[in-house]
Amino acid sequence: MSEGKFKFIEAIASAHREGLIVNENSLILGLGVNYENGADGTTKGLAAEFGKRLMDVPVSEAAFTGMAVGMGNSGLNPVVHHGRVEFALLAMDQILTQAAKWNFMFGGDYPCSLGIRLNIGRQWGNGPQHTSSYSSLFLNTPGLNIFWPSRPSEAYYYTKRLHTLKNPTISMEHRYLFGTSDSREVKTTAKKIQTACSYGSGEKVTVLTYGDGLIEALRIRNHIPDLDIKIICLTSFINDRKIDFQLVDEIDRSEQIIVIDTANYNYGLLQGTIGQIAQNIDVSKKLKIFSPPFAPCATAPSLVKDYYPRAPEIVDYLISLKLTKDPMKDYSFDELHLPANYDFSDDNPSKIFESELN
Amino acid sequence: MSVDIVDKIKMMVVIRTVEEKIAAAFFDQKIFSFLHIMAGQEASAVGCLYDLSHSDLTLGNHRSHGHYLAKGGNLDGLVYEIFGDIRGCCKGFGGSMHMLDRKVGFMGTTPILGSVAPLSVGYAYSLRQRSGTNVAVCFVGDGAAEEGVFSESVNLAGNKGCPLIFVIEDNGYAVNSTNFHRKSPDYNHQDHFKGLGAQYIRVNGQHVWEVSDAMQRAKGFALKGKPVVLHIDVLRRHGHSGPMKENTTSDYRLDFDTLEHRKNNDCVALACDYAELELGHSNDWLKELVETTSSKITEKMDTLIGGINVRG
Repeated sequence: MSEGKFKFIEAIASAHREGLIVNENSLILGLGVNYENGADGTTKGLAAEFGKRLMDVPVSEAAFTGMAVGMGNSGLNPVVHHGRVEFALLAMDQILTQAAKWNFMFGGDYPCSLGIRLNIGRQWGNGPQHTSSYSSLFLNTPGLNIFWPSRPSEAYYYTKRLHTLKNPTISMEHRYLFGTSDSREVKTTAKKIQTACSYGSGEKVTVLTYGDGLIEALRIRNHIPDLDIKIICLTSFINDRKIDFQLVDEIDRSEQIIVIDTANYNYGLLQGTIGQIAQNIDVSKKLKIFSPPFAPCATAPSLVKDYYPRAPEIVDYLISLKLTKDPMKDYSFDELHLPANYDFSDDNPSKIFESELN
Repeated sequence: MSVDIVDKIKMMVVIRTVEEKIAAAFFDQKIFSFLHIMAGQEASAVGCLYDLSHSDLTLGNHRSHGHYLAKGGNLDGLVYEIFGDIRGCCKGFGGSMHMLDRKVGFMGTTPILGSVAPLSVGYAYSLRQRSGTNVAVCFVGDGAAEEGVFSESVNLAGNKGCPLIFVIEDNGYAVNSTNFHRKSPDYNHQDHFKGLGAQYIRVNGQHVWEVSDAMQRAKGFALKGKPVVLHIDVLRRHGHSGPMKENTTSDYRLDFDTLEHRKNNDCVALACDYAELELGHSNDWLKELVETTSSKITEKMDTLIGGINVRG
């Protein structure tokens, strides 16, 4: 990796390192986080520097997550890593019923300073039980803040904040993005907390997405530069989840809305977002959804190839609307089934949306 | 056993009186909160917590009014919270199952069974970072001790050397199901928890002096980083939820567990017997002590309850 760039996993490791220095009461715990290349490389080298503050734990998700909740309630700022969202389901009592409600149920002034990193699986081999994000479970729970980085610079930005938290916060990380690279120069200028960012300013087509959907959106935008497709990428869901009115205005001004959701759409993250938007403006006639079928993700390549939304099929849709004539080459086997190696360095956001984090 | 058993008798009477007043108010439809009464098993709460300092931490479950009071929790805050008054210890957000008084090291209670165990490991870990002389104590019932996360937490506490005492208050029933209904025929607490690396101590929970001694021993192990499972057999007067009036033998109770049996093994009476036989206090003096304490708290409770109006 060249000097000015870092990969997603390096961005996380780098943010952890700085976070551990900034807050000496913070620590990282999870299965194998103290390995030399721990947590899939996202805690690489940290145990050598920080010793026991990188805490390996028994294979007991409910117990070690609960221990972290207790630490977060009593003056420490733990950051828990779960290698898949599905593994964290074993700890849902502690995340949803204890951490998220702790401050509320005791009448306030008793916050839980807890960060939780949840990895979402994709690409070959992951299959039905390693690919879910269960977004609605977290988004629909008051008391939790959710970070959802879509590129390495955002992973750095959000991960560092996990070390100085006031309230329980989950960072959702797509393993599909772990190999992507970005400029080390942090793109966000948000003084509060970044909630979304947009790329481009055209008003013909707006793509609404989040997480690993951003890659597809950028590929389309970069394929048809003349159209100046506007991308709105949601990157955090905080406080009461109320949608930014500026964002609704951006959507309102667009002639066509394309939604790219890499998870099951119905009752999920972006359907919830569209629902909030639809309370303010009518989007029904200009909306097109690209998302997986309402089914789990299979394992065999032949069964997965059409599962996730792909830029070429979305470009075909734009051709059908006569917005472009230039089809995009369909993805190769490797592009379909291996982790992305996209370089975000040249994709500069045009606007940052931000909000005060409670 | 030190002479402080007199203070412990008084605290047991305080808890008994408070619990029975709350139970009575429940039938008057004055309580707007789930209610789990611990009357009958006061010796467990008092024996475990009365001697601890405010720097020792305690976490409890849905049945923790007595734990809160035994640790020194503020009575007004408890009563207001249970009666749904926003002057309560959780400003009305929690209710009966959420007791909190951090000034005395009572760090909170949570009713999801077994949940408090891993939370307590976290508190004990934090405690160990800043103090080498304090312990954390958490309470679960015999049913919650069957949760997987409870066993996981015992292992985790041992793995991290946390100064933590897991107290199992065992009344023999999870709601109305006996151990016989819920456990494998060869289930063995001692083998299980010792196998997880904990020190296992079992004690008669009707004898407050024995519970106190057991807690002292437990504290010694915990401060050396060896978690303790302190298994306390208790006799509870009321049923699981709500102050069920169990004046006669209820269907779910085992044959030996009659009203008479519970009366003959009442922890307050047994502590008075102990104070008379072992420490030479006169029977009349002890009787007077119990009655005076009870009437003082009754008066206090009447005043508090009289000042509450959540319908207004």
